[in-house]
Parts: sequence; structure tokens; C-alpha cells
Amino acid sequence: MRARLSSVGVWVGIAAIMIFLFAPAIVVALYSFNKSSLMGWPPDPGTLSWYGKVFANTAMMEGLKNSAFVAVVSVVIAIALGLPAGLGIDRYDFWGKTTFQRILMLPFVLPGVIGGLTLLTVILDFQFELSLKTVIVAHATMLIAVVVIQMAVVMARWDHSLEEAAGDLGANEIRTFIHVTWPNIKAAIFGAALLGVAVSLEETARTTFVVGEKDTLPIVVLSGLRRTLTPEINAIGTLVLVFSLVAIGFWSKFGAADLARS
Amino acid sequence: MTLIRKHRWLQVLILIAPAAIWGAFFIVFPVFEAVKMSLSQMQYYHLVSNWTLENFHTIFSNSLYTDAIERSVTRGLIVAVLAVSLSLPLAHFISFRVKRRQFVWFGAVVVALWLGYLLCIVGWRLLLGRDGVINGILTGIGVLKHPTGGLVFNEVAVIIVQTHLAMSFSFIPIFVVMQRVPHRLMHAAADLGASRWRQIIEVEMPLIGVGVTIGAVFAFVLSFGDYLAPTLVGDPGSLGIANLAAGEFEHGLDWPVGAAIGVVMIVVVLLALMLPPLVAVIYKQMSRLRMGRNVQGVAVPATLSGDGAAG
Repeated sequence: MRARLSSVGVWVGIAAIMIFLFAPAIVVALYSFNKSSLMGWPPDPGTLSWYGKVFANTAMMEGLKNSAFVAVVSVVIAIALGLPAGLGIDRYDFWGKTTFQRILMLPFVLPGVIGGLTLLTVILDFQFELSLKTVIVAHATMLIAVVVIQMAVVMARWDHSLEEAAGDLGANEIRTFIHVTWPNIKAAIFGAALLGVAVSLEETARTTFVVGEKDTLPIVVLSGLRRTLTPEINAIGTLVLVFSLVAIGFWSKFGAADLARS
Repeated sequence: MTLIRKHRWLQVLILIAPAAIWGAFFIVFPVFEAVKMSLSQMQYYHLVSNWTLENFHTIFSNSLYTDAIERSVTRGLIVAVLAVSLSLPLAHFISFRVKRRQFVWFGAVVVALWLGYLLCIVGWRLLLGRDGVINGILTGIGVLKHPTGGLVFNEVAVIIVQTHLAMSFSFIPIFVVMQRVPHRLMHAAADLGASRWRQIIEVEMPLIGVGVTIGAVFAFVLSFGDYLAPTLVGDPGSLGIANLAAGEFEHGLDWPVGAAIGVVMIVVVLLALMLPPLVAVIYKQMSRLRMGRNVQGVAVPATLSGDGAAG
């Protein structure tokens, strides 16, 4: 009897934690279909009009466009720099390797406020202009860490003797990379790119410091939040959430498959 | 080409130089620049670099700043404790109670935590607001006569939101270390007559200590560095040190003081990040001591008692 009771207790506790975790996402999605703009109790779902208003909202659409541009450019930079760095870290031992790795990880472990603030001190001191370019620098710096981590995971998983065999058969490093290494890691890199886009799309803490006249989507939403909540914010939020969930789904299918198998 | 093939250092250079240069410019240099600015002063709307500790003196002698530091540290500790004490049972449940489709459970939790900063805040405002869901339910079942506005825009709301945000950083490391706890060890303890609590405290906890510390430190760092939740769900009294740093820049007040706050925050965060390696070392020492004792009493296979604690 006591065992039965404690088992019920466990389930109630776990259910409470799960409700705590899911409640905010559920209400955001629920109220994005709300008929009234007041979002009072009880919710009254049954309209798609807020989604229509999002697409008619020039500030939000402009923000989405800027965010998409920032995300794509930052991810390209992060892969262009992070992929070779990941290869170098995996293949070679060199002086200062641990320090190099730790420094690349730093933007990931330090809070966003510090990343944004330190970058802003440079911008102020050198009197650079704040623009989407400075936002891209902030985002790319953070995403390099994501790519390097992903590279470390994927390089640890697959059989390096294939590369050695290609070398023994006379392929040079570049041919080996194109024909042997790349086919083995491209799914993981694609996954990291999607994860990077999802991270960039919702980055707020760094962005507020370095954003110029053109706002990214989270900045538009943030200034809306400072005034009042509107169901439009819920609608665009639900769309971004669905997009990131799809992106994470792809990432876990391509990129994290190795992780799960380990 | 042959030159590159001959010299390994050239190969390394080609691969890591782009990232190293980027990191030098945009990670290392900005920290130096912040330190330099923290030692400067603002005079007649111009930065004057005169290598003074005046800004740090301002921070540590003015109760506006010291109170904010104290508040942020305290809230960080509370959030760390809450995030870990919610993550631990959840990770334990998924690892040891869920027999099939653990992956689905893990995925569901990650999905819930992938809400992002702003949406999390929007969601909690809808839940806690005067016309919100919780007020609606409480008045509906008769606990409250009238909806209360006291649920949101206060310290508790900030802690709730930050705990939710911090769980994405505390749950994953805790879940990962728990996956490495060998089930047969728990079964062995059960077979030898250990109660469920004793299994958890004496077998599981020593094996997951380092992961729990990492989760707690990440949660602390998130809360300590957060400046959005206090402004969006808190009251003026819940503004933390990160808000003061952001405020100095946002309102163009005193950049050097803002930079100095940033430097103080970096020091606090780096100190916090040193905790997990420290705990790992202590655990190693402790397990070595315990193994010595076990040799006299009941022998424990070295692979079982040593490995987990080190990992």
C-alpha cells in the first residue's frame, strides 16, 4: 500500500514538473488563436486573423527579413571558420590547443550580456557604426562554438582509418577531404547549420547591445513586450517556435544521431 | 602544395588561423577593451583613458551597485537550487523509471525548454497576469474570490521565469551523467537490501555529482547574467547587476562604470565556472579514500567505484 502511494506521489510530482515546463508554450500557442485581443480568461480560440495581421505588420516582417539575413550570414561565417578549426583540433596537437578551444567556447558559457557589452566597448572606442553587420559579428562569434562542438562530436564517432586508406592510395589532403571526410560529416554540419539558424533567430541578450537602426525580430518583439501583449506576438512566436522545432528535429536526425548512438 | 605537405605546422595554421584570428578580434580583444574602458573615465561626454580604479571604487562603495550584486548572486543561487531540484527528479525518472522510449521523453523535455527567452516571458505573463490562466483557474475553483494582480511583476515571477530558462542548461548535463550510472549497480545495492533512498544517496549521487555541479553552475550563470526577465516580469526592486550594466550603455550614462560592472561580472562567472573541475578533483580524492576503506571491508570492483566518479 505504501509502495502504491509513493508511486502515485512520483507520478504526480513528475506531472507537475512537466506542466511547469510545457505551460508557457501551450498558452502562447493557444492565445495566438484567441478571438479577442484581450487574452483574458477563459481563452477563446478560433481565429487565424492574428497570423494574417503578422504578415501585414511591416515592423515584424522587416524584423523577420533582417533576422533571416543575419542568421544565414552568421551561420555561413561560423561554418567557414568552425569547420576547419574543428578539423585542426581533431587531427593535430599544437601548442596552446586547450586554450584555443576554451577561448572559442567562451561566448557560449559567458552570459549574453557580457558578450554584447564587451563587443560594444570595442565599437564605442573605435566609433564603428552599429548595424546588422555588428549583429552578425555577435551571432557568428557565438555560433562558431556550436560548430566546433558539433565537429568534435562527429569526428570522434567515425572511422578515421578511411582517411588514412585514402592517403595510402595516393589521394592528397584536399581530395581526401572532398571524397572521404566531407560525405561523412556533411549531415552533421547541415544539422549544426539548422541549429545555428534557430539559435540566431531568437538571440536577444547580445543583440540589444549591438543592434543599429535595423531591428531583428526579437528586438521588435521586445519593444512590443515593453508596451502591452498582443496576440500578434503569440502568433509570430508560435511560427518561430514551430520553425525551430522542425530545425531541431532535423538536427537531431542528422547531427545528433551519432550522439544518441553513443 | 609540397611545402604545405612537408610542414605540419603549416597545415595546422591554415586550418585554425581563420577561427583564431576571429576569436582574437571578437572574443579576446573585446574583453581587453572592456577592461581598458573600465579603467577610463567619462569627462564632458568623452572617454578619457587615464588608468584609474575610480569606477571599481564607485561600484563597491555605492549601495546601489553592491545591493544589485548581492541581489543577483542571491537570486542566482536560488535559481540554481530550484533548477537542479526540478531537473534531478525528472532526469532520474526518465533514466530509471521509464522503461521504453526514453528518447521520446528526453525529446519532449528538450522541446519544452526550447522556447526561447522572449516566448518564455510571454508565456509566463499570460499564465500569471491578472486576467491570466492561473488567476482564471483559481477563481474558477473558488480558491480566490477575485483575480489578483500580485502574481506577476515581482521577484517570485522573475525567479519562476529564470528557473524555467535555466532548466535547459541544468537538465541536459544532469541527464547525460545519469545515463552513465550503471543500472546493475543500483540493482546490486537493492539486492543487498539498500532502500530506494539509500540507493539514490549512496550509489547514484556520488556518480552524478560533477554533472549536477555543472547544471547548477550553468543555472546560476544564466540567472546572474539575465537582464531581460527583471525588466519584463519583475518590479523596480528586482533589477539586478546586469540591468545596471546594460542601463549605463542603453541610456548613454557612464560607459566606463558599465564596463567595470561587466568586468566584475566576468570575474564572478569565471569563479563559478571553476567549481565543477574543483568538485571533480574532490570526488576523485574521496573515492580514493573510500576505496581504501572498502579493501578492508567489502571489496568493490575498482572499475565500478572509480570510473563513474571521475567521469
